[in-house]
Amino acid sequence: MYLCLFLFPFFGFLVSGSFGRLFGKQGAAFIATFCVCCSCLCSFVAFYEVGLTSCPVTLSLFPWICVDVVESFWSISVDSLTAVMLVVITTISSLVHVYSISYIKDDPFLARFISYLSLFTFLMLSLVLADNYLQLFFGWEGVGLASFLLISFWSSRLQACKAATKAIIINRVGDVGLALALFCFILIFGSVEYSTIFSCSSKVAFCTFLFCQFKVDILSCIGVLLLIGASGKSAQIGLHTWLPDAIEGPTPVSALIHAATMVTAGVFVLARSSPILEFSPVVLFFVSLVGAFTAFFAATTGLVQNDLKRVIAYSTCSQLGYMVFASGLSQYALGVFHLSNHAFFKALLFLGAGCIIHAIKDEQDLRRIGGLAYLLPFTYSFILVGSLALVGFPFLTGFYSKDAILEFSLSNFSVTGGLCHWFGVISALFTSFYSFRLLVLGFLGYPNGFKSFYKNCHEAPLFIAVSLIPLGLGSLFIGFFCRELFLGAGTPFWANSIFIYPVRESIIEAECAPVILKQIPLFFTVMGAAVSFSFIYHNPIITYRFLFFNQMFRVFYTFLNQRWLFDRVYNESFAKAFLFFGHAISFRIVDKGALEILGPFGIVFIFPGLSKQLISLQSGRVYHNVLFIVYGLGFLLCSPLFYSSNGCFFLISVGCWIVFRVF
Amino acid sequence: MASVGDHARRQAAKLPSLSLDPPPMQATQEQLQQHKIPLQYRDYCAHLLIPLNECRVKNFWWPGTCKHERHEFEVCQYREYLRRVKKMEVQRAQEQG
Repeated sequence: MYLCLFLFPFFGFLVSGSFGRLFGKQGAAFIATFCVCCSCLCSFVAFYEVGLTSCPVTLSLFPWICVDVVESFWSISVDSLTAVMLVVITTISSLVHVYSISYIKDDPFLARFISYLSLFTFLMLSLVLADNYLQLFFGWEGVGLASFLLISFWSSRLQACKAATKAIIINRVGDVGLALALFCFILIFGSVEYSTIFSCSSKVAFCTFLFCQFKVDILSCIGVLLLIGASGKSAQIGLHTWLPDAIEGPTPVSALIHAATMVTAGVFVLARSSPILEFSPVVLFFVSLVGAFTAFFAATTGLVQNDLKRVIAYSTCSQLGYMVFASGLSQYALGVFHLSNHAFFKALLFLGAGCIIHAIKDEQDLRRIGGLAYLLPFTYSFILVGSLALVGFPFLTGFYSKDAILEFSLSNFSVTGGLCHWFGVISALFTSFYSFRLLVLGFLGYPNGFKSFYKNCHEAPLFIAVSLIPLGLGSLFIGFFCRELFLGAGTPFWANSIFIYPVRESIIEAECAPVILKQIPLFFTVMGAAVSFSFIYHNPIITYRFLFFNQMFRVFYTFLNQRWLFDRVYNESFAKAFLFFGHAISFRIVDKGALEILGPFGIVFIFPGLSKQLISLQSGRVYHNVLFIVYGLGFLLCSPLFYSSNGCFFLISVGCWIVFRVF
Repeated sequence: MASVGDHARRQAAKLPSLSLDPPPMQATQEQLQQHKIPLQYRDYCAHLLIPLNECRVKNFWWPGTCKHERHEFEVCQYREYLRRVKKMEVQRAQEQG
């Protein structure tokens, strides 16, 4: 079953990718979707077997890379953490496959699109099913590649190609971190297996090595490298710029990759590496700080974005920040809980956004739509559920994880905890503001679109609706049903898959916190909603007047609208220099210069010149011919001396003497 | 607004009968290993976690079940938490003379 779980998406990829023409685009899409749905079914069985009945499974398939002491097997290892990820990945992937059948039905390359989706699912499964860091790295790189293929699926769109290139380049920066961490594992532990590394991590805790005459803590070094890797994939501040741009891809891609699965790989790696991170308080401090800043930065940026999907993308970035800072506070289970909850409501939001875009002729500027609640009630209700779950409305899915993260940060009794708590609370305020702003501008406000948009506006077709319903139900109930399983005090669910240093457990402290402090996030959320309604819905004219006539506010607005100028700074400092290097040196001097001259171009033009010179040697004069005869004879006579110690020198001397004498 | 620590100190002060000595450890090492109690919960309340986890597994962590077991365990943990807070207060007072 576990092998089927793993290989079904690969089979779907092969069939739809190789025999798409044979089965027809719809046929290939149905086969691939069926395969992923079967994988999803197997995942639920695996969740029951591994998670609920506590029977972890490890299957060693075949040896992969065995060099010196390093032995890496291609394996399938399923523990509780993997089981949760399996359910999340395959469920969202199945629903996105179903959604895509209808959403991209008019595209002639539907089979190719579906095959990419299946390939992505397979690679994501190989990432989470790994029992060693090498296989994880294979999946890690693979999902980066699949992401590139999916974002640039509409390759005739310049923006899509640029976004795909940006995504793969920025992901490479993070990948360097993970690759270096992998090398460190081989160097220090002599192994890439989780079991070996995790069981030895306590032995090397607080051991150091010399690097440039500085003593560096081994586990801190590895932890920082893992954090860089996780930051690249999970779009943490500094390496986040690819995520909002990646919305240029088709909407199902945004739902699958940039909301539910790929971006959570970083959080998964942090949770998986908990036995390493727990022995390095410095790294935990950085992890929580990076997460908290990301949550805050992305929430502020999301406030003023006008693109429907971009708002949701920044919201993803912000929620990833919550997950990362939960991991930094040693609450990995909480991070994974928020990850699984977030996957459902964010996929719902993205797919709902796809319904809007589909209904109103690809318009996704919030300023040009509005009043859709009356025309698209079905889509509106799902977006409303997703938004309420996102803001942490009481008793919806997001409430159970997001509120718990803020409670845990409160009871951490450290400066980092306090900082994370207040960044998180302010982010909750902003999250509430932009979520309700999206609802107001898109659905409740005055219709600002063209009349033709509204005349032809229609609800989602059957396949799209079918995929939204489970996500909607998940956004409503997953948090309630899984809270005890994931977060219950002393729950045996996680078993050995997550390690928390005993002194860092603070669930009782969080439970015992004053009620008034626990209610602060809810108060801020309500405040955000109220401000959003009063400024955007009731008094939009006053808001826009204030925006235009207040100089300071306008500067602030521009700063946020330009995404804290990250892109501009990167373009000015790095992109221009790299583009110059790429064009002037790499392209013109190396590719078109040295390689062309030494390569075929050079051969074509140099050899005729050389042959002309050789021809000119055939002058027909006797003394020229005598010269060559004498030189050849001399060479033959002296060739035995060539092997002596000074033979080469002697040979050259004789040759030079002859040439000098003749000419 | 009271911080978490202040709140805990106030709650601990409300219970003058709370002993500073730890309660007896009731669960044995073998029981803890047998029931796979997480490391961070192998404390003075672990004997209450064993039936709670058994109940959870039996009911597949279904919400609303095991209320009694959970309540007992949480009360024990709460009292243990307040005891630790009170002990820390006493230690601080002693250090300050």
